[in-house]
Amino acid sequence: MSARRAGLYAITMILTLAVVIHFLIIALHAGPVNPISLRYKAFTDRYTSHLFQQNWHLFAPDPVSHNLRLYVKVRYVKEGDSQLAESEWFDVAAPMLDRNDQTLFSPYNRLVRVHTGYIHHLNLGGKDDLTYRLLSKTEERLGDLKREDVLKEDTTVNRAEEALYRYASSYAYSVFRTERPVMVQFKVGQIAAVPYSKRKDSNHQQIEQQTLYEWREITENVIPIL
Amino acid sequence: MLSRYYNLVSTERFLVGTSLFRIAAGLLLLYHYLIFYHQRYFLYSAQGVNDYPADFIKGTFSLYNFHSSLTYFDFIYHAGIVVAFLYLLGYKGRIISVINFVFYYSLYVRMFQISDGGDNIFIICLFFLLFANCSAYFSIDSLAASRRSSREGSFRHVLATLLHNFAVVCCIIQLCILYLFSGMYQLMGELWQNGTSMYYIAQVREFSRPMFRSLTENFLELTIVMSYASILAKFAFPFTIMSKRAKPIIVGIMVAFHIGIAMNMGLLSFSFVMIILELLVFTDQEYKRLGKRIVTHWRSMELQVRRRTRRWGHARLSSHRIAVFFDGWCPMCRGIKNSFQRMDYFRLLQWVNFRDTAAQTYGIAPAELEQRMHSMSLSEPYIVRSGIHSFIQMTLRLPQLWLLVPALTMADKLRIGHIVYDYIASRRSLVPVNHCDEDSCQIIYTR
Repeated sequence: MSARRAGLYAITMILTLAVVIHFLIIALHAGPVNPISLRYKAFTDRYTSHLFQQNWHLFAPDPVSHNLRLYVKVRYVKEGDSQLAESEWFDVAAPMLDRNDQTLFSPYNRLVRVHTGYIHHLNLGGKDDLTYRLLSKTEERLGDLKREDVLKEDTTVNRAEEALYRYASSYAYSVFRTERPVMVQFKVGQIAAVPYSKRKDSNHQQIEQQTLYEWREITENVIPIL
Repeated sequence: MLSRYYNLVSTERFLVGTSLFRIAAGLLLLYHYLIFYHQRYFLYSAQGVNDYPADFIKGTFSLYNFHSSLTYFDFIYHAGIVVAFLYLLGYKGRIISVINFVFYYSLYVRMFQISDGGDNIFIICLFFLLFANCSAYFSIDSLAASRRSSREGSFRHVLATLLHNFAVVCCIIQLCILYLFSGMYQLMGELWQNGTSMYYIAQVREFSRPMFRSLTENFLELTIVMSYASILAKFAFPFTIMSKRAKPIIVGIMVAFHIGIAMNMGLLSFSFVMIILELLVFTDQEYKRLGKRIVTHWRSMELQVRRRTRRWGHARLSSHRIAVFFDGWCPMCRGIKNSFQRMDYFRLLQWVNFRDTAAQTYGIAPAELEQRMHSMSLSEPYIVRSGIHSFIQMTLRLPQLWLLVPALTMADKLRIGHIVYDYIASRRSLVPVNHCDEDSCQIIYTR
């Protein structure tokens, strides 16, 4: 066997080995949680943290079953007026959802996910749902620490709240172009889907659970959304 | 055994698929850059909705991280569009692939909430394909390569082929992992087990379009069957793509499945990415076989259409037939005649070489015929037209050329049609035929 051929054989074997090892790590990282994947979680998370990060839950095991809404209220100063006026609540996503119903080929096809993504982070933090299931199962080990406490410590939640204030500010700048927006407030609405068993029950009412966030000064270094 | 394995992985076999993927991926990248063009600051810049704190800037690579000004942002964004276009054209394949990856990755890490599983697998596969040859076909590189001598058999070429094949195999395994694990997660969910998952998803407006809502309202049982079928198809994919016969079927099913997701759930780019990744699972041989089949099928279909349109044209449109007098000594005229004959589905053009003696029976002076192309209607009142008017008459009878009619008519009205026509006609080169005897040819000088 020539040196050239031996070299190519060696490269082939190295590549094969690399592919096998890589996808073993990926399988451990992306597959359902099990004792083996938990044992190597720190390593697999580090390995996949940049380029090979992946999550193939894709509406599973539990598909989305809540409509999330973002409402924004603005305090603004009219031109030539020193009085502070207050707007009604704006349903930010409703026009975008309508537009997305009309056509797939518009930026709103993805823009509708911005606020829902951040609201999910507000509710769940930076952890995936499966990790939360594990957390809730081992809650006794956490002592007095509750899910809410974990969330409070989670920087993702704080960043999501910050981003929603930026979103609200951006929206305020879009709507009040001639006035001067000064403060924004937002509230998050959550409406559960009609359960399958109640789908024919005309008396069933969908209740929107709302969480109100405080007034805050408008974020200045933000571009209008539209 | 080692030798057989080596031969398997060192033979070029996925060049057509990767080239098709490059084109589709390039189009997707351009779509992404352009559809969010007006929202680019809002979505990706430091003045947008997302906060990019210092730890993010420090721990993540992105070209957009180097400066927070909008001018710099715009420079990178527009450079990204240019690079994506070059990638689409297949110019300087591997180098542009790397640059394109750097630009798109820079945007990808800043997508935050708008990204989905499609972007996730897309960026992973774009990385693997940095090691592949994605411009072997349908590219500027392939045009240049046809002029260069082949390096086949050299160490560099074999190494490139090895890397190419492994890169494509990585994409295929990644695709299988996606299907397998998402199928497994579906099986773990109670709503997927009892088949009501689609009913619930359809109520979430963000992921349901009117068609989906109407489907679950009117055909609920069908959505239950479809949710089970989606799990089955995902599990079947990794195993069936091993079989040459089953592969087109499972790919067809997955393509239909993702078209359904795009139309019903509105996950447009996710579905598109999943569909274009399927292009990678076919070998070059399979593509070439498919190409041959399409050509054969196309030809037989075209023949059938020709037969029918000819019959229909003969019965209904015979009053619109015209004789076209062309110059049989002019190669350009003969070329146009051949092209138009192929397009003449209704057989409305009867071609007459005015150099033949038979042309004299039509009663048009040969000198006029030589100067300009003429046409004559073959039914009363036998109208004779010449030059640009003849050309317009022909295009009116060939549906494929109808788009030219307004431009030609306009040129005629503006009186530039005749000038252009006469210029081209006067400069046509002539090669007389049928003027040769056994020893010599008679050359007729026409100008």
